[in-house]
Amino acid sequence: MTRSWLRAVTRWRGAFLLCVSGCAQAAEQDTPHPLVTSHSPAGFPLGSMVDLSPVDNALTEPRAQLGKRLFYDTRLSRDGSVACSSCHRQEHAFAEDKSISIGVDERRGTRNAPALVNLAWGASFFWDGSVRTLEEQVGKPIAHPDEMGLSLAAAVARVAADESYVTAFVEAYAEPPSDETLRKALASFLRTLVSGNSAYDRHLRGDGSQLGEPERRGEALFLGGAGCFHCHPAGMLTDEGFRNNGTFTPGGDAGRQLFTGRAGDLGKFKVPGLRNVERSAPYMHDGSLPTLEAVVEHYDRGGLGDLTTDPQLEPLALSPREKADLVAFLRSLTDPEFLSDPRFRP
Amino acid sequence: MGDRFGAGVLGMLLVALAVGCGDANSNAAGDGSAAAGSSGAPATAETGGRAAGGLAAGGAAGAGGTTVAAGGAAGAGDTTAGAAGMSGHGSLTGGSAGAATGGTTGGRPELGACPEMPIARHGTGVMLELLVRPMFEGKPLVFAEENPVSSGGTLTPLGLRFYISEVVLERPAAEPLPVDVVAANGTPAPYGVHLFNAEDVASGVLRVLAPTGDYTAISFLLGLKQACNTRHPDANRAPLSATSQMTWPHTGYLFLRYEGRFAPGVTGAGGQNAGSAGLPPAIHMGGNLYEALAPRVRVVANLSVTASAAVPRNLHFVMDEAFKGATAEVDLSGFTGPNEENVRVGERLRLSMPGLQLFQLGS
Repeated sequence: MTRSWLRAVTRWRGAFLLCVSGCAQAAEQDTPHPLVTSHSPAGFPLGSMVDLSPVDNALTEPRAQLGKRLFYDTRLSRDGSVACSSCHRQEHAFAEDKSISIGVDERRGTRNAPALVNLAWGASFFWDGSVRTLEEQVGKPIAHPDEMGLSLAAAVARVAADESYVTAFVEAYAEPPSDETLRKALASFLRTLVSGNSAYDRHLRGDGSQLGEPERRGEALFLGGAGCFHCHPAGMLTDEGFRNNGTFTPGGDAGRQLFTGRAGDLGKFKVPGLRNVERSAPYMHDGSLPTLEAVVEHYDRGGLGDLTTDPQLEPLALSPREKADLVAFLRSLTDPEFLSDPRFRP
Repeated sequence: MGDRFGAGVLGMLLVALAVGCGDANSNAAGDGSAAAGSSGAPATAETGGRAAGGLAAGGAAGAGGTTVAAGGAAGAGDTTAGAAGMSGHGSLTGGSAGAATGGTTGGRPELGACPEMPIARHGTGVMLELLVRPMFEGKPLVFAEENPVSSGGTLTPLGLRFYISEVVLERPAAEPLPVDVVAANGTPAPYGVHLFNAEDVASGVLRVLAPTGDYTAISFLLGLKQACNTRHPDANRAPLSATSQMTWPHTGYLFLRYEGRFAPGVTGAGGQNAGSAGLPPAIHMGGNLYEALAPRVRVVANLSVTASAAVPRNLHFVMDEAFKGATAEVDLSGFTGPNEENVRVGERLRLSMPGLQLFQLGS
């Protein structure tokens, strides 16, 4: 009898453990993967995504999760056809493979969708740097007639009609949805898009096995003779500056000048960071260069030759091998973990 | 940082810098002698940290009155943190002593103090505001706009940045007085450094906290002391982070960075990026990790700091002088910095600085 009791207990225990395990799996599926971390990759500038969030929008998990939900929600566009994620796709480093983005009613924009990577460290946003905060930035595409085409007021009304959204906003901001909290939530999610585990990053952290010979030669060129470092310094690979990089031609997009009105800003665009650049083709503000090879050729020529080109841009006369090495180095900036990170999925 | 220093600074007197503008020039030579060497003496400054420098190196004003002399080493006094600096008098050594805290040791950089949050030297004082104004051919240089050139064509500055640090005020018959570079709220600026960026209007105000008194000159490093120069940008916040645009693969910070475009007139010669005689397209001064090379710039002018309404002064950065120095014939055979033409041009400027009036104090 004792033995039979033990067998029964064992069976029940097994069943109990099975239940616990199964329940835990179910709970895990229901619980979003945490987006917010308080550390930043080695070699990054001081401050984590949490440290760098503004005082009036401190980064918290509920805010970031709410922002992620909004990021993937097509209801934020006028006809429900477009979400932020339509033009900012994770597999393309949150850029897209089109030269120019297509918005509601198949309307074409004017510039290439920029990659959304390591924005927590950004000093200004958009190709022309016309906004200084992510909270301001995220509202613009929603309202732009060629992008999502929906007023922020209308977007808030749609969100407020969804009880689950209202609950999430109250949890995140202790108030119902509003223009301000909607933008803050989206900005919070964007701050969590941190990429810092490419072969180059591991190389920076001291793992000497990460870069092969071509990549190392390319790195030396990048940080040396090719002069790429002038605008893409080691580390974040952007100095957050604005340059006319030789893509401007008369009559073309005036870039930062449209924002500042200054003659010297003609054809200037923001210097982008380069992590995952391999996956964010096509390149430049207008998506005019389809491949990394084309980018290297562009700089090797010294740009298109307009007189407004930055004085530091001069023909490089790189050899074919040097060009290939530069491309190899740029490919070492790919962070596969970031590109497939389940935390960033809807 | 604000909490740490706020209490003392909140008590500071936001009072005037009353300046004897009208007679500054004539007084400068005579008044400058006490602390800064002989009146009217030619500048004897040496540029760079190889030589011990200091306040005495620049000499005093000549007939031109409000003048600039440059030279001396970055190590003219580690005036940031530490108990010695608290008095405001202790660590700076004018004249030939040149306490080379920022110097080099056996060819390797000396990692002295460059705290992110310097300890305030003076708990109270007057907020002295200097409005940094780039000038060209006697007129304000308008950033990112086409500025006419008297010989024809236009000059469009596309970038102009430089660091100012280790500010010292000179006074008659007394030790030179190191003062804190401070933020708008009066707390010490991070690393004790000010970055002027022509694109950022807010950076056009250099603030120091000065005790009331009569001063005869102001001097500062045009750049960084070596302890700051050797800090890695990734470990720093602004203005010493990579977004300062003064860093590269770390070869030491640029101390001054200029880029511009000269467009010739319809009948002129030249072209894109070629610049014209005297107008180089880029000047990058600094970029040397292993030597303390930041020149000390000295501006002689009477400054009377009193407790009345604040009167900011204009600190003119004279682009003509920068171009003159950057194109001067100097011996670069000992140059060990990055092998880039723009940096070599910057080294010409640095080596030429003792003979330049790069900064002038206006009314």
